[in-house]
Amino acid sequence: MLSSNQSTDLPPENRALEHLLATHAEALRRQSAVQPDDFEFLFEEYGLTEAESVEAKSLLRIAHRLNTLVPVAPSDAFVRRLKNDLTGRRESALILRWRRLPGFYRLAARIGGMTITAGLLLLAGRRLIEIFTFRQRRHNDKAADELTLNTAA
Amino acid sequence: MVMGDQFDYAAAEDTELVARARDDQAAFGELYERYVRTVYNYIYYRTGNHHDAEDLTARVFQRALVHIETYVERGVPFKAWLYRIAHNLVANWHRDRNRRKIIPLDEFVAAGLRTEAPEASTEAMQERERLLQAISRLPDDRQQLIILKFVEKLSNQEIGEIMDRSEGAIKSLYHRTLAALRDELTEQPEPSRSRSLRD
Repeated sequence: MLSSNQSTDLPPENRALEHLLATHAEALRRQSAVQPDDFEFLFEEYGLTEAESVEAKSLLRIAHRLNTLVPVAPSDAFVRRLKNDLTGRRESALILRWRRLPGFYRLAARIGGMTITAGLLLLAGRRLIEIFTFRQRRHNDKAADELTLNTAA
Repeated sequence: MVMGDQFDYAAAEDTELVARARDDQAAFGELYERYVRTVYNYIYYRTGNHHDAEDLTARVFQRALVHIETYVERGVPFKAWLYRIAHNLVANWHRDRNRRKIIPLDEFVAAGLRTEAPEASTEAMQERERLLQAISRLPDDRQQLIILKFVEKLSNQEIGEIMDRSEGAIKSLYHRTLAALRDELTEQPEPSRSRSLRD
């Protein structure tokens, strides 16, 4: 049976209609609902007035129309892909996320990466040049010193 | 539930899986398998297209994965918690786009009518389109109620857990929803009958 109505601020006739609608919806869910042609005995059972019966009839017909809605399933490919993304190996998840980024995000990421790489190469290159220059200078100084000693001798 | 040395994910309760999901990807994977289709279905009805439904469904489960430790402390049934995340994301989606999607006639509408005569199929599809358009013009909570009750076939108690309302409040909301939908359908013009039906 129905659980007690907790909308205690409603007048009794609205609660009766709500009970009827709730019971009917539950019957639709269990595929055992009264068909529209048989609504009259329901109205008598719930003690509805004529005006309430007219109201109830129109609402019950709406409920029957709503009962024609059917579920929509996702594609199997989507379900598999998302599951792999959520529970798969970390590196494959990152690859999938990279692939799903919009094109301009990936382009910006590539440009940013190239800029950072170029900067690092420049810094590294400058350091290498400094080291090479230092060694070259030391070599030249050593050669000059040897020449001076030989000349003195 | 343990079978020998192996944990039986398929037979485990949601609460068990949630407790394991923090450290066990397979546990979260089982929860995902149980609810991905219902979440997707709800979001599809609210957005009206597969692309956004896939995107938002992914975000629901990504958010669930990130916040699953928080969920455990609150004690709301896992399914209800997923629906609340979905509802919030859909509400944000509508707000960001400032539009209500008209749910298009799609293969799921046609699929139910393939066995009928072409003339009857056309009329039935038009009727269903009117119904879906009327639903899309309702407030968010009434749309949610319709989807949970008539598509997901949930009880008032389950709906109440998802929407954080009492069963009595759900019954009242259901009454008002039917009345509002009736008014929407009354205001809509009837679709014109096809020539084949007149002949």
